[in-house]
Amino acid sequence: MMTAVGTQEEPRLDARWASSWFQTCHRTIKKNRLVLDELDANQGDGDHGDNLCAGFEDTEKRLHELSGLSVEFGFYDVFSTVGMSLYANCGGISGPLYGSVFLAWAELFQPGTHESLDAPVVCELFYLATKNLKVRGRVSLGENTMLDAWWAAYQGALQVCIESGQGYAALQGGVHAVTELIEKTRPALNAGVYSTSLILQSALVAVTK
Amino acid sequence: MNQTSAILIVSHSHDLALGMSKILRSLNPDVRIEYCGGNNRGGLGTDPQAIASALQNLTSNVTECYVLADMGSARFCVQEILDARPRGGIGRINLLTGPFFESAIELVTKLKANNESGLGGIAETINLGSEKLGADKSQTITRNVYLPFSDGLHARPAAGLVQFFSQFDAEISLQGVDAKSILELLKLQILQPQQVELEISGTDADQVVSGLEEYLKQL
Repeated sequence: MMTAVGTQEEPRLDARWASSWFQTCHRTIKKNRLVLDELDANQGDGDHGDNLCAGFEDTEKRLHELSGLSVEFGFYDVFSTVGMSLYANCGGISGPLYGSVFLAWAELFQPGTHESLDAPVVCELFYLATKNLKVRGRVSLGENTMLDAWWAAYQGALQVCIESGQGYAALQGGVHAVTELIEKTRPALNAGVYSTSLILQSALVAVTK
Repeated sequence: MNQTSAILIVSHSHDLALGMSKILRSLNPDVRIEYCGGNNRGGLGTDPQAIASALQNLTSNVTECYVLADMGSARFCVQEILDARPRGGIGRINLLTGPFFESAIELVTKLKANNESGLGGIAETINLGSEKLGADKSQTITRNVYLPFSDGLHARPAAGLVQFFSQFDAEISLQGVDAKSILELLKLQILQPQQVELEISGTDADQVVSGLEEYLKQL
């Protein structure tokens, strides 16, 4: 797997960060639960916030247990824990959808390895998300679904990679692109697009800890 | 009686699944009917783990299994579970995509008449294990292209190339790997300018070819 040593100022995106990212998600989603429900009510059954909240509550618990173990853990452990947890505990379609994305991420890493994410790997994670959502969600680009958000993140991260940026910068580029997408589509903001942006923002919040 | 067919009903509601299984059993007591209803907290919803174990249990005991799912996440979960199953060694599983209740009634009646071959007329039955989504392979173009990157295909040019390819709907493979995946391209370890083989399939395949020429020229 690709590894890159970040510059001094550049925060390392390691497995501890990934674990902290998805624990942060629970708090972020909980804060926005009603907003997500309201957005979902325009297009679905209005329970996207509730579903994600239940899912990430379990995720946080499981990751907390994982971090407490004396053994080292890697990206494989974190992403497969997140995927399985959302799969089983997050209701509606979003549970299996997000679950399958994070399980696909886990497959990118060998169990027990402790590399940190460089820019191409960040791009690849976003790409895997779009690939998975197209097949699993049976949607195409431009249908105002969470696929559009992951696609924007992918393109944003690629742009950073073209400009020789590191992993953290690629992540920022991805988040920034999703924020722009949200500003553009705001009147018809899709709940899945918004939850994707909350999940990705949590990744940045977790870095500073 | 040797049962070879089974029906699994998956509904958001436990009561609906139970009621429906009762009706089906009354119509055809010889077919094995199982159901999963509601989420794992006893409310409305879907419980993927219950569905997975029900399917596991059924497929090890019957040769043919029909699944009826009411909507949204119920249907989605069944598809997910079927997609994730290793192929081979399991009985046939069909997810019926027709109207939930009507398909079920028609199915049990036809099974009773021992007329399984007539099933095609009930609903569009799909064998998910073999379902393949993707571009139409009949429009495949193969091209040899010279990649002029003087230091080879490292992260920066690879990201540019991937960004270019990803504007198109077509499935594109470069030296046999997914050309929209930056990691796949980097794994090719192309260290100097070289000729590569592209395989492009999709309705916009022609645009990829002409666009790429332009793209490589302006580098």
